[in-house]
Order: sequence, then structure tokens, then C-alpha cells
Amino acid sequence: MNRSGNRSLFLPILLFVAGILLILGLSNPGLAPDNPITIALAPLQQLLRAASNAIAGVFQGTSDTQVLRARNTELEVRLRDLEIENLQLREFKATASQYRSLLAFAVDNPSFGIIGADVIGLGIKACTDARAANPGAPSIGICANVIGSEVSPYSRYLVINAGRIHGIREGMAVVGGSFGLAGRIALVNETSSQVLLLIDPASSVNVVLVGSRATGTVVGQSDGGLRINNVLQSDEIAPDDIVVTSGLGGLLPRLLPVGRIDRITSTDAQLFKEAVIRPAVDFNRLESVLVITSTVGAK
Amino acid sequence: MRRYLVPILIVLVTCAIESSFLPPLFRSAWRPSVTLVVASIWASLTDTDGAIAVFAGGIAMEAASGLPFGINIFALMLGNGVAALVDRAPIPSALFRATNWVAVTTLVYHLAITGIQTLRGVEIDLANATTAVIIPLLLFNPLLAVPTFFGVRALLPRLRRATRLT
Repeated sequence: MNRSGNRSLFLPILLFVAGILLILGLSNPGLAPDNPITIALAPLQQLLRAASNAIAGVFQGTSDTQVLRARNTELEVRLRDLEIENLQLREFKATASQYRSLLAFAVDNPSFGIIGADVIGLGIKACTDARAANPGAPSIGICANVIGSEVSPYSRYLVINAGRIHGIREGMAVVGGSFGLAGRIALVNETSSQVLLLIDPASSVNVVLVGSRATGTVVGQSDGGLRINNVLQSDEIAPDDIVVTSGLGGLLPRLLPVGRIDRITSTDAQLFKEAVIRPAVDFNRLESVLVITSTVGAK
Repeated sequence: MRRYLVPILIVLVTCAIESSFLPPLFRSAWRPSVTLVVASIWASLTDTDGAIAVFAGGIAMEAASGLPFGINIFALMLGNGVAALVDRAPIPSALFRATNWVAVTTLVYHLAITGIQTLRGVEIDLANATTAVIIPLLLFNPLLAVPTFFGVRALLPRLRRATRLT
């Protein structure tokens, strides 16, 4: 064994090289987007992940608890489906209310020439409707399996087995569970991509509350939670309000469920309201996701 | 040549295990840093090939990480650099020195990443990071280093013999 006194200068030299790489990496975020090791690791990660999921399944309990778990999962899926349906009905109600106001404005101002337009392209609901109505139409989403997770506990990324050759591009929305927003594509390699999860501290998404139509920004927390902030004090927030993407900025489709208000943490003295959000997606159990590659009707 | 290639391949595989195999089994805030442990043990037992193993481990972690390129490599190299300095302490047992090396590398690696992330303006809850990640890993990584130490130590003579023969 070598004692430090006998060590060569190789370690300090490589540390110096690492320092230069760090400076280059921080000054150029797009450095090495096609890391060949990522491409080499992807098939191995896929195999290991499948094996690990199988082992985790075996050790998760007895057959009775597995039956109960299956039943519970089924009910959870059903509950989420009903929540989504409820969300869509409430959204339709709110939209219809807005259209009624616009119509009233048009009726009250007959001298104006008026053209109706949507703020942004259609969301996942429209995509799924379009797919159900016309199964032969080109796909608007790509299903992918989660094959890797972030090795650092200070950021929240996933690696999925779909990349540039599958049509994945940076910024695309990624949904999991019952079409709840999981994150967006941050880095694309040839056969795999990195997904920046909503719960990453660097993630920020514009949202709207379905009930009150209040707008805000959902940001990730370092403890893996979600928080909404930048909500005006004049806007109403109540526990269990459903939070969906607003589509502002055009990066993400509208109406993707983000979660529900869990508890309000701000006081009246603060400039903006803040609240903790219960995510719509269980980020610890994401195994398959859907990448939204386009939205029907989007320009 | 094998004495350099084998540790590189091993750290690549351990990184794939760490990013793919372990997450479904460890759903807490931390999970075993097998890449860090294997690379650090290699660096504690050898000289040039250990440094190369650490560098390769850093590159492999970059491949599985969403952090800006260079942070994992630098933090891992810095951790092992500091561990090499601390290794001058007169600890008579090779095993204790190896576990001490891993503990120092773990601590410096996490401090370096939290420091760099804070400098980048990313909000890190240091209290939560310390209690939920750093302290558990400071306990678990040295434990994981014990079997790793014996495994790497058993492998090294074979690699060197092969190198001499070729």
C-alpha cells in the first residue's frame, strides 16, 4: 500500500484537470451533451433497472399484501382518473364561464370586430382525446421507461430510455402516473434523455389554480417537496385546490395536473401567498413516463 | 494496461448499478455511494491507477447526473485529494485507513457539491442535507468500504501480475 508521502503527483494533476472541467462546465451548461459514457451505460442501466424492479417487487411483502396492494393500486388509479375527470369538468366549467363573459362583452360591444383565440396550444386532455378519436393519427407522445436516477442527492433527475433518435427534444413535458406533470426534458442524448423533475430546486413552472383561477409559480424544494409562490394576496387559495399548468410561456402544455394545495404557509404580511403542494405524481415510484412531443393544434 | 482498464470498467458498472439498480431498493433521501466507495478504495490502495479510477468514476457519475458537467468529477477528485493528505495520520491498520479515506472523501464530496450548488444560486437546505444525506452516508459508506477493501485488495495482485506478464 502506498502512503501519501510516496504518492506521485498524478492525483493533484487530475484534480487540477477536474477543476478546469468544472470551470468549463459551469461556464458552458451545454458542455458534453453527448457523453459517450451515457450512451454506453444506457443498455446496462436498462437491464439493471428491470432486475432491480423485479427484486423490489419480490421483497415487497407476502402474497396477501400483494393482493391488497394490487387492489389499492387499482383504486388509486380509479381515484386519480376520477380526479382528472373532475378537474377537466371544472376546467370546462371555468372556461365556459370565461367564454360567457367574452360573449357578453361581444354582445355589449357590437361595434367591435372580434376574433377569438386560445392563449396556448392544447394540453394532454386534448392529446388523449385526439388519440382516442383517431388511433391512426401520428403519435403526439412517446412512452419511455425510467432507466436511471440522479446519483447526487442534491438534484432531482431521471434518465429515460428515449432520446434524440425517438424524436425527443429539450423542453418537452414529461408526464407520469395519471398524466400528472413529472418534469421536462433537460438533456437529450441519442438513446436516452435526462428529465428535470418538478421537485428539483432549479425547476420552476407557471401554474393556475382551477378553483380560483389564481396564477403562481410552482418550484421544487431541496427536501423533495413542491411549493407554489408568487400568488397575489388578493387571490384565493384553499387546501385541496387543484393546481394545473397555465401554459404561459408556451414551454409546457396547459392543464397538466401538478398537484393539490396541501397547506398555506404564508402570512397576510407577506407580499405574495405561498403554499405547499401535494404532487400529483409519486416521484419515488416513477417507472414509465410519457413524453409529450407535440400538442394537437399547437403552432 | 489491465491495471488501468479494469478499475475503469468496474467504476462504470458500479455507477450503472448506483443509478439504476439501487434507486428502487433505496427510496430514502440517500442511497449507498458505491461508485465513490469503490473509486476511493482503489485510490487508497494504489497510486496512479487509483487516481485514474477516481477520475473515471467522476466521469461516470457525470453521465448519470443532471448537475452541470464537471461538478461530480471535481468533488470526487477533491475528496480523494483531501483524503490523501489526511492519510498521513499514523493509523496502523490498513483497513481503518481505507475506511477513514472513504469517510473523508464522502464528507468533502458532499461539502464541495453543496458549496458549488449554493454558489450557483441553487437553494440547498443544509440542515436537511446534513441530517438526511451526509450523516447517514458518513456511517454507511465506511461500512460499505470494508467488504470493498477486501475485494479490491484481493484483485490488485492479479492485475499487477498480469501487467508484468504483458
